[in-house]
Amino acid sequence: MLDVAGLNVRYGKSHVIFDLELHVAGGELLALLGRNGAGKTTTLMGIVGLLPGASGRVEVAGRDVSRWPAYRRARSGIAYVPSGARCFPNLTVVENLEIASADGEAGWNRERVFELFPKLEGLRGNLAGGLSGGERQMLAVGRALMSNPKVMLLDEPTEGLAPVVVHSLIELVGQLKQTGVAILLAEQNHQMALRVADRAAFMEKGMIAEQLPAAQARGSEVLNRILGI
Amino acid sequence: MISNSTRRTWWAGAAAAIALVAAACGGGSTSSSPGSFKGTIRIGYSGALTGQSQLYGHAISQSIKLAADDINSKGGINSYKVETDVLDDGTTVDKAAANTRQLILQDNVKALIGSVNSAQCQAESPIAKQNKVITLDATCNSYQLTTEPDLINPYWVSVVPNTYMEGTAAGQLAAKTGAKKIFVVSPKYLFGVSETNAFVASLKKAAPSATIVNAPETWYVPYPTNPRWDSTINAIQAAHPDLVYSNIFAADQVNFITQALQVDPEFFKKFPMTTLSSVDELNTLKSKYPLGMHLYMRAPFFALTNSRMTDFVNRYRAKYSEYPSDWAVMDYDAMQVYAQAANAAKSFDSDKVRDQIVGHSFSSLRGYSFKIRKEDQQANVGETIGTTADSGGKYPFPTLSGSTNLRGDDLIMPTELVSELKAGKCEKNNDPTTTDFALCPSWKKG
Amino acid sequence: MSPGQLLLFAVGGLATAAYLFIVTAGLSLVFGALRIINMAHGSLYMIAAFVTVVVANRLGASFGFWTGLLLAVMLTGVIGAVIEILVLRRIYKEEHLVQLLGTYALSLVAAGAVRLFFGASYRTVRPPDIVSGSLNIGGFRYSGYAVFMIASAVLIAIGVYLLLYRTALGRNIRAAVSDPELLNVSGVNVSRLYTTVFVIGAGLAALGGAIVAPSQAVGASMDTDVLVLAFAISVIGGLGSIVGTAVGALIVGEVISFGLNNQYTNQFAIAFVFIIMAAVLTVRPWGLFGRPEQEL
Repeated sequence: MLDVAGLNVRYGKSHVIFDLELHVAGGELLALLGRNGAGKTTTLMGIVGLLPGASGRVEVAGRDVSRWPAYRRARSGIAYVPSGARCFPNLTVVENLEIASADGEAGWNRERVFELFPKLEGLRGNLAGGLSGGERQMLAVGRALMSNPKVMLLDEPTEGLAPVVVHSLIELVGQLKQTGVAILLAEQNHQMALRVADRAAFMEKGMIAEQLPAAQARGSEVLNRILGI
Repeated sequence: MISNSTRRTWWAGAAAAIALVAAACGGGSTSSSPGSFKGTIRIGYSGALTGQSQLYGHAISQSIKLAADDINSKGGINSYKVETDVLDDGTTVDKAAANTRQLILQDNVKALIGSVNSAQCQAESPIAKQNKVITLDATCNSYQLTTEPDLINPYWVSVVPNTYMEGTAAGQLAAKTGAKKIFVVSPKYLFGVSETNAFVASLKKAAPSATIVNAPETWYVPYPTNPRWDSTINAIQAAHPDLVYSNIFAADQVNFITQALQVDPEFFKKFPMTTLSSVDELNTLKSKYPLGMHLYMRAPFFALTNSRMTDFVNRYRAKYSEYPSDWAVMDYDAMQVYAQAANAAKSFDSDKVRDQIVGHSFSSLRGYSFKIRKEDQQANVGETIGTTADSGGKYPFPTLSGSTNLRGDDLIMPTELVSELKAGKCEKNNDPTTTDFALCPSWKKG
Repeated sequence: MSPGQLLLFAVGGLATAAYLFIVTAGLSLVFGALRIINMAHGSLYMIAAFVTVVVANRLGASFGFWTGLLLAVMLTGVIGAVIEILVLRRIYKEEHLVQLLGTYALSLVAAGAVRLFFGASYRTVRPPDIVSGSLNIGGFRYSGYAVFMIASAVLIAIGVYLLLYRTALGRNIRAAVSDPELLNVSGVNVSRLYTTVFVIGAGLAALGGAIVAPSQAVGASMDTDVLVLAFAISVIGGLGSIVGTAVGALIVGEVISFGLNNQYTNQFAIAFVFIIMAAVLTVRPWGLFGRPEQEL
């Protein structure tokens, strides 16, 4: 569903992502693991088209989107949930959801998002800026779903959340892949990520060091080496 | 991220807005083939080609070019061809001062034409004085420019009726209407305060029983002002005066009249007005300029009929397709004063030229000769008063009916007052900022 | 002060406020969404005033005014689109100073062009018949045209409010204020949105210029006449807030109307506007009705 090949990112003269290759199938969850600064966020931003210094091939469901600006990539089926539970703080919950709304096979709409996050429904008219961190993260995921994406890129969705919220959020991400969406999950919390991931890609210094099935990744040597455990 | 960057942004915005107001827009100069001249000399003008007084600056820049052509066709000055060097000051003081420096120091002008407003001239005069460059002033007219000890400049020559002369004329004009309740509105800067004080002092003498209905603190509006005049218009309605005295001018006068007529088409019938005006305001509003307004004007061509004026009007119209305003007439005269004096001096040396100006008489487009007296280097030029009336299709704007050309000798400040002002005898508590001729001993006595 | 006078001065303040509001609304909208201080806003306003006067005087006051207004808004909208696409797009990411210089340069170009096309003299036009009358309330006269301006300002305020809070376009504009990048990855073409916003801002400037034209001398310096007060209003009311712009204009209009006519406050009336501005900047730099930007 998502095929990335030869992704390079340069900031001015410095080269930060090197010939990256990733494939995520529909209904599959790939965990992108690595330390702070390994290049996880840059990789995601390169895929969604936010970095002018990015080059390489990005395909969504077999369609090459590499030459498209970010908004067209979004419309082609990439939903990006940036880190920090980013929302439009001056818009209401409903407006935040509707802004990304697009028709699609998965059939996500406002009602289904509220079924998934009942808590949000009670806050529908509130400004997003006043929500708690967990609520905002639900809203961010909800907004991504509203676009009925083929591919979801999640950047550190558990960061800064209370453990119990982290738990349910990760469970939810695990469930989402059953709708057929391809999920690329960048995480530092590898334990959580590996509980729901199908495969893991380990990143170091802007390169993929190794890719393993999730089962093998747990307790692996590469996990210890790269994440320093 | 808000606070600092946004605050900076807005301050920068405000600063840039002010800079924009003060902006300059190039210059210009006349040019034609040098012919048999020995060379070229320049006469500089920092003019309001934009901003509040752009109407005036526009007319002046045209008329001094016409004057330069006329002077050149008669052999130039001391066999040198005359060029005008005009820089836009946007009707601002800072730019006028900067322009004056540039004209003197970089462009090497031999003489300057005075700017439009008194605040500008107040800034220009010391610069011209320091560099010994003669200024022929035909527009800004606060009497302080030629009498206040701090401002006196031996190279400053005024060929425009000053605020004393004009205020005195206006006071007599107002007294003649028999008005008892008078409302005053004036721009808040040197000119407005100077002329209003002269008006009030003259009114008190000419019509002791007349009262001014608004408090002195509210006579003045900010200058340059915001283009809405609701506040003044409503204050007039509330005060119900039988005469409004104003010396607001240019865009301000046009806006004030336009908005007052929208409030009440009969506004100026209910509240007759005595105001400074010029052909520029009449020509801007054309048939919308109210009839029955009591105007005092510095040099309206239609009231100062003589053959030289007719010839000038015809040539000015042929060249610019416009009627020459009072400012065009006076500044044409100013150029001729310099040419005549420098020719007589056979020199461009400012001291020698001044000796040929002060105490000498000059013929004028205004149909009479004026003399520049030595006490304050002020010319005994007249003022025209009258009431607006339809010109009967002769002009696209109203003119004056029953106009009277007051004689400069009847208006000019008595020399006794000049010497008292120069000696600093006309101030409260030895504070020079309170200087006012109405505080002079000889004025109080008379 | 009698009740009749109180009303007279209050309405006078409203007229000034209305004039200032219609000039400032577009400026504020553009700043709010694009974070650009458009120094050329006054130029667009001036061009529209000239177009209105020329068309109205040619076609006759009543019909001509409305035609002129329409043409002015359309022409200025096109100029706005060209400016946004050719110039502003290149300077969004620059420092504010560069942006200021960029739009300032545009204002100089516009001023030169206006002088070239329309000359130095002022032009005036009579108001259309339908709004040219005057009213008599309690012995005082009120200008029908000022009432029209006040009504226009109210309609423009409501219109802009509805646009911002009741349409998808308005929602996107507000979203762009807080996080254009997130909006972009949500599938909204932010470049085109910016062009649209700037065209709307230009249209508002044009509406202001056209509406103001019959009430004052239209000349080549009306672009700068109003800029300083317009900035003061934006600061007081809040960056990009239309409600704030309205409140800021009201404060400034009424302070001037009442302030100038009182002997104790005359000296300070205009200064007071800037004292309020400074106070707002100190206590609430985002303005009375603005919202502080979020730390990203």
